Amino acid sequence: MNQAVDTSVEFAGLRLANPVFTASGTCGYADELADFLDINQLGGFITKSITVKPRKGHATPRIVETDAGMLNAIGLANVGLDKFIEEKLPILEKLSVPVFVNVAGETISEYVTVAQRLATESAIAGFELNISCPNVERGGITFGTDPAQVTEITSAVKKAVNEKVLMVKLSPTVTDISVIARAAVEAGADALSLINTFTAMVIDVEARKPVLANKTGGLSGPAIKPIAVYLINKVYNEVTKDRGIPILGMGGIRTASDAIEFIVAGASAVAVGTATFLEPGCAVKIIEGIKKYCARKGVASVKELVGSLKDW
Amino acid sequence: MVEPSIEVKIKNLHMKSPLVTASGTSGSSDEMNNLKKRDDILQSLGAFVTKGVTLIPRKGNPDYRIIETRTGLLNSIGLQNSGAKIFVRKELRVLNNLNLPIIVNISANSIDGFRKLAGYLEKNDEARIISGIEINVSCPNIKKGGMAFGTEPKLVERIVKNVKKEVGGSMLVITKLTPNVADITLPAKAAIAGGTDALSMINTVRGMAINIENHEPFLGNVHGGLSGPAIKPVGVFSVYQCYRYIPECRRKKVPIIGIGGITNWRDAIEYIIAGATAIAVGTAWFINPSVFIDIARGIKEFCVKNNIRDIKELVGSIKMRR
Repeated sequence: MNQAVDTSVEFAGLRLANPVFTASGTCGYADELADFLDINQLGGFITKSITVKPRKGHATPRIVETDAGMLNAIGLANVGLDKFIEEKLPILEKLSVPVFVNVAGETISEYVTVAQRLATESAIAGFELNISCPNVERGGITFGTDPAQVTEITSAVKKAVNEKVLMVKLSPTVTDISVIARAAVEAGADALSLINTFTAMVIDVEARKPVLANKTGGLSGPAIKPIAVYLINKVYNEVTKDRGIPILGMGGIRTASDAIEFIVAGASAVAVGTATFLEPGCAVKIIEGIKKYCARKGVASVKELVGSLKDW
Repeated sequence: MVEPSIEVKIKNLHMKSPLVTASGTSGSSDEMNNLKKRDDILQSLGAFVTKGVTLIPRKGNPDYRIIETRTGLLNSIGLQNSGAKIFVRKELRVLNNLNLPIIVNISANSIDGFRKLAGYLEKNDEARIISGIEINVSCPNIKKGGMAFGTEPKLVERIVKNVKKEVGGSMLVITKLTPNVADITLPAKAAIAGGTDALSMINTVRGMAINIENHEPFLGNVHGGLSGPAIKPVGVFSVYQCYRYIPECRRKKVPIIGIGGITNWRDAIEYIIAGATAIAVGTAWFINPSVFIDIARGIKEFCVKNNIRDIKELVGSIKMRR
């Protein structure tokens, strides 16, 4: 069994060298971690959210650790569309891996504006529509929990992205995630990414105040992994499998075993987020781990693993 | 300094401590024979909440039924229990020896099933010792009922109304809510509209773990409910949301029992500050049999240090301005 493992996967018409991304918001615009992580070794890259206007984000503290997790409430701090094109796009143009721009906004037309302006940029392979940010008062999760709004925003952005890949990022804070997933796919989403963070809170018992300036934040990290695996498997079985729509799975992935669990559950590719903060090279290590697993199990191609969970 | 009071009241139920056992984590009676010998634990508890009881006995789900995750636990027991008849005749007698208020967690797969079960407990002489009922409309591990009810506010209201009609004012009615919803205040408001006396939250979050060596789910029921410290920030947020945005909760007319990953006194205080009048400990009880003693002591020490004479002062005391 010394054959090389084929780690490539198909993802909405793109051929990825391997199934591992970094998650939006955890790796800046590819410049922040350049000293620690060779982004070109990844399967794909997703930027921090971009909005039309620059955003300062929330007051600090913006991050607090929890048991096997963390809460963040950054508030979509970003440089804004103009500066992104001017300063960040040249960095992304040098990358050889597919780049997705995470798009956010307060209104549908803001999402459309960002997508339209970037749709002609050759450095960009696709978009990740952030309709699941739990840390903003307008937009974000308020779109992502209502199927009618998911339909409206997805179809509006779809018209703006030309032939680029449109991926919609889903919130786990819904009663039935398949309803939202179906709305996105039927409105033209080429791929889905899930899950975003859970709305949550940490209180400083000595001060009797929420630790985060925004009071609430989004819970990520290994703590939420079993929930992510469940929701991915549910969406895979109920929505995407029959339609051939790929899932980018995320939520607490820290090791190659975690990544494989997501792939077996139905994800075509995975994104590593919180773990990158602890170990910037984590994503690359995971790729190596997946190769070793495949070699050990006699799996010739990672593609065989996608959705390979046995029927019960 | 006088010893601070940690007595609380859930409607007309007086409890000497805000700590209760979370349903399903303390068995029903066999396990409790041992607990009888531990007066120190019983002294730190305010009430005993039973494992879910159904009208007809249930075998539960195929194994495996439990798997550990990072700082959490997935379970899918499937409401295994010996049924209401045996519960009343056999288990309740043992529980009565604990000298604690008894709250019976009840489950059914239809609205009428809830009504019948509540009626059975109400009319049974031997069940007179029951102080309260916890309506489980949030179990993630059964095909019919459970979480499927708890995510539909209209069904929650009807179930609570039916149970309430059966038990009248003789037993406290608590409704246990699921976090697997877009907005937990909606089922909470529905339970209040149905007449619930108190709310308990959160039940487990649906999750799954896969064995990558054989590509099979670890649990016999494929998925289960995630509990433990992993979900604590979600539980604290849920309690806070209900306390802050539901007037009946804020005025303490409908008190909240906070549940979800409480492992130590700090966690307990966090829930209380967020708005919980009482708290339940579940998963941590599997690890540390002294957990209730430790938490009760820690709460008292915290009160002494902060000059709090009565724990009630802490309920919902979260400061929102910075």
